[in-house]
Amino acid sequence: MDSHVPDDLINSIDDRFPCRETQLRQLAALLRPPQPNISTILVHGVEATGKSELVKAVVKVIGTGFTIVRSQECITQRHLLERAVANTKEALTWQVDEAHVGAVQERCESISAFVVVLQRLLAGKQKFIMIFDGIDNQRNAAPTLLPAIVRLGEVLPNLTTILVVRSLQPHLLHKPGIPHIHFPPYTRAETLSILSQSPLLIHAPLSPEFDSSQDTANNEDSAWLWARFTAAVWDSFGQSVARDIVSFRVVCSGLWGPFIQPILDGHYGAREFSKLLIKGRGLLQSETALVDSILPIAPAAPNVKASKPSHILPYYPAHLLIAAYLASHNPPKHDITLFSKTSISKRRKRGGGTALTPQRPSKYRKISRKLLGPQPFPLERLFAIFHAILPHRYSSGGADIMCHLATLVGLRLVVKSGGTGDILEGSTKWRANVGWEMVRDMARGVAFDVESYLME
Amino acid sequence: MTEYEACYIFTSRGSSGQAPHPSKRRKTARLPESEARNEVLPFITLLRGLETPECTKVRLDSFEAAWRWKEDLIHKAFHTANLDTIKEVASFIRSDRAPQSSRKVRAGLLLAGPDDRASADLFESIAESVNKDERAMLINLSSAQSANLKTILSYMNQEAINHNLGVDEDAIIDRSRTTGQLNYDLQILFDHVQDKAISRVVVAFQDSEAFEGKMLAELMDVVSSWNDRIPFVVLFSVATSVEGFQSKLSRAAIRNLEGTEFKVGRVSIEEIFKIINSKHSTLWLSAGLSNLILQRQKGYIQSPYAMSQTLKYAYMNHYFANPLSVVLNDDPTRVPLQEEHYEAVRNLPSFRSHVQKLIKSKDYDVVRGLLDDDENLNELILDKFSSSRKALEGLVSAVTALYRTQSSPTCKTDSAWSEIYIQAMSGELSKSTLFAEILDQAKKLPSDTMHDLLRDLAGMFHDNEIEKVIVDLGKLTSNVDDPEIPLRSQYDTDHETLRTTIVAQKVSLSKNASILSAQDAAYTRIVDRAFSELHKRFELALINPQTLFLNEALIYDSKSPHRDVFTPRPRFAIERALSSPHDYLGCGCCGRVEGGLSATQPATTILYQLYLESGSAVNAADLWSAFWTIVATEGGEDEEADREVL
Repeated sequence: MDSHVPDDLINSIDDRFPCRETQLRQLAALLRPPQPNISTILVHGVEATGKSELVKAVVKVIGTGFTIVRSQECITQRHLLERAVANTKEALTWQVDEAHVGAVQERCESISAFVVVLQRLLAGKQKFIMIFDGIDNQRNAAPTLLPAIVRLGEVLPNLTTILVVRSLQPHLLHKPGIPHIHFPPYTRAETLSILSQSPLLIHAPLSPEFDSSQDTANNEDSAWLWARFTAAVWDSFGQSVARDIVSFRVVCSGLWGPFIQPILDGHYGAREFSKLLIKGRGLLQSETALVDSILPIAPAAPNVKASKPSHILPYYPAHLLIAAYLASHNPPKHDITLFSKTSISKRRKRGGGTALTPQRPSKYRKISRKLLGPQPFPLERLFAIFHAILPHRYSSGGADIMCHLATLVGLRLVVKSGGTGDILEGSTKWRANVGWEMVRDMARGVAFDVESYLME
Repeated sequence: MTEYEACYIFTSRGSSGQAPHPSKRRKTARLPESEARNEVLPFITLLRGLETPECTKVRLDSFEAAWRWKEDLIHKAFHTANLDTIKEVASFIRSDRAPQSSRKVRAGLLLAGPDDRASADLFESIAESVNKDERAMLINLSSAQSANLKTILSYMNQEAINHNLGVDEDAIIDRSRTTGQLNYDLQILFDHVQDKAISRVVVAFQDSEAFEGKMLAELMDVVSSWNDRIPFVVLFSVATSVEGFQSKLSRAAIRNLEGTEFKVGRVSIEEIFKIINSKHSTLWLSAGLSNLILQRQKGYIQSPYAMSQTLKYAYMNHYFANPLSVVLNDDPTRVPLQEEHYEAVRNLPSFRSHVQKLIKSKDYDVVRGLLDDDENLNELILDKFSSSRKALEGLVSAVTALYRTQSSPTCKTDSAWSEIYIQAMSGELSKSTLFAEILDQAKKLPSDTMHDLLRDLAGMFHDNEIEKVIVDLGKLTSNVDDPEIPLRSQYDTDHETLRTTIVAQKVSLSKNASILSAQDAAYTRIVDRAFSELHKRFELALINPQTLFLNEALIYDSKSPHRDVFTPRPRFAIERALSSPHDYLGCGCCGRVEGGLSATQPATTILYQLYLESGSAVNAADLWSAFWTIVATEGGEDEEADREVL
């Protein structure tokens, strides 16, 4: 038992990974050197449950050679395999520093070549661990990749592969008897206890010249308030939407600033949690904190909408885009009712039916057109609608419209969908690629009532 | 193509004999400048070919001089507009502020608008400023070269390696070849970054909207996973809006980005228009044409570059086609006017109205002299021309003055400079409600802002009277008890109180002017004086430009070339060419056929006209036989050939 990993080392990891003791023990038990070598371990669990980090920490402690291959960085299967070989070589040279390792070539276009290269690399070596991180999301992976990796242990007895995957599907590996370690998502208590370890501060940390007692008071107050605050956020968001710990932390830190603003303004004390909660209940009611955005959104002012340019396209291109949207979202059979200028009364299906409306519910559930996604349309139809929705006669040449259409296609607001390869072909179909909000804003910008031209 | 020719004559190779073999381009010594110039002037001789080469050259030179001025100004405007953005972006790229987590890539979103020319320029300048730093590099990605993830990544690697091909260029290439790394492996970029100790890798997407959203998201995924090793900064140029751009990306990709928004300083169309028509102008655009150009910009393009091109075309056209543009020169006395020029001037409407004026005042001798003697006319031209030009300059500066007046805080009207200009050029401004309204509202200004306004206006008009008013105003304000509180005139609504009285159970509102203090009353008098003076100035400056002598040379007013050039009608052009090919081909064979069909016409033309005659329901065999009858009558082909073809 000389190479037995001491328990206190394991305990040191345990401190860094709270609430993951079971998984840690399982992993350590499977990987500890006196145990016979296990060819494959499958680690699974949803996003942000500490899988990769914990595996990495355990493997580091155990002290055998290891390498991590991240599928996220690999574009093709070949890329993955070559990366794995390169990493292994690196790990081996660093560890044993043997000359022959460098001589082995890295090229491996297929799994079989990979096996051969690995055999050469690992011949006569000690135990080696290869971790495939996120292998279930590998781009351009052949269906044989995973089963082949699982069977590597049959050929290479000194190799252990650890597969880290997010979702577990039946028949993923085509091999029974592989130990699975499940990382369940953190529960409420676990999440809150993890977050309480790194509370955000109410006041910015003071420089050391200042009174340290004030600092500790600040820290204590912050920790006290942070614990209650995170619990409140969990109860309103965490349970339902921001379930994983990373996004929960993001939501919490986003809301923290506006939540403690009254303390900074001096209206409330740091321990008046219930008053703060009542004051800041708007934060927890609105959903702005949950919306992902490239630009940081200030959740403090959810009602003040940023004044975005409502009129981003000139007059005619805007109409063309609206026409494209209408063409994509209206069934062609209704065109005559919607756009014909001769029909006096436009029949709408809004509210109230006629005598002809069938009383009993239809056999098929009707899905709103808006939810169905944009349908393709031919160019002719687009131009017909464009001319129909313009409030006046369009007199300029057709080259202009085509030019605008080219611009819209260039901006990917209108995209080609189906048809032949040649875009000038009459049979080519197009599709609007804009959301309802944008079209609505744009229609308001050019004073066009787009709602009345949409079939519901 | 000139105004005299109906259309362009196409000289085909066949008709003009063997075309000379295109000479091979050789690197030869440069020809002396003047010699080359004399040989081929880009401007043609006008006045039915009677114009002297000097005049043509004068026109060309004065066009170049005039446009160079404008071009510099426009260029400067573009440059200054982008300057702030470029600085901001450069400091954003340089800044060491770490993102929230190592997975997050710092992203700059440049709201450049749909004008791709502008965003291309912007990115060029940014690239320049980035490349100044040895330890930063910029990789420009465009949607055209980015078909899929692999090509983008390999392109990034390649660009990075080519970026600073310095001392050991072979080493890198060799290494990547010997290690057999895949060319889309970002490891190559990583190695390179480490080798050169590069601290920033900027990936710029010039047309981010044109990228496929899914691919962009994948790329962001890869980039963010490398972000802990390669210091990435991403720049997106957004043409529509941030929301629109964001809706293309997946949520995971958005979570990987930490964005900063940059407003791109844009040169407005208005600004370009103002530059063209106000500063150092030798040529002015008429109201109608300005309206046409601005409407088109508003309805279709909204691109300052296109705007400047349009205006350049107007300048070009004027100098190219108007023989009288020779006088548009810094020194009109130098221009060697010739007989035909005088003849042309005598045909101008403005000359006629001038003559009619003279006849009314019974100056018959002068009229006779102008009509008969070129010398007399020359004197008149020289005399009147500079005064007309001064009048136009005065008009434009009056427009600018009025625009300045409008910008004062009490004014509620919000007209663009171009709007005021168009009204002024059509000679309607002095009678318009806009004019009266602006002046009325400006009267309400308190003394401090009034002082600034008057100072600016005095500078524009070079007026001593207004200067005097300013001096008086200064005296008045320096004697005020409390210099912090500005004086208010009686026009200011603050002096009015609303009084409600109930008369026969009806509420009536009445305005009451409160009593003015002595200083306020004095201030009111000064305001009255200033505005009567301003009124006088404006009345004087706002003339109708159509009444000016030689306005035909000073004002460019022809809409049809613009309409033809900037609103192409390809269908119409093709149809016309098919129905009368003779106009375009200029061949001798079918000139005599008027509107009919003949065998000498091109086959496409014949078929097209037959098709038009028959309508869409004709069957192909009938069409063929009709076609054949026409062609065969002259060609003398027999039926056998026909059968064979069928």
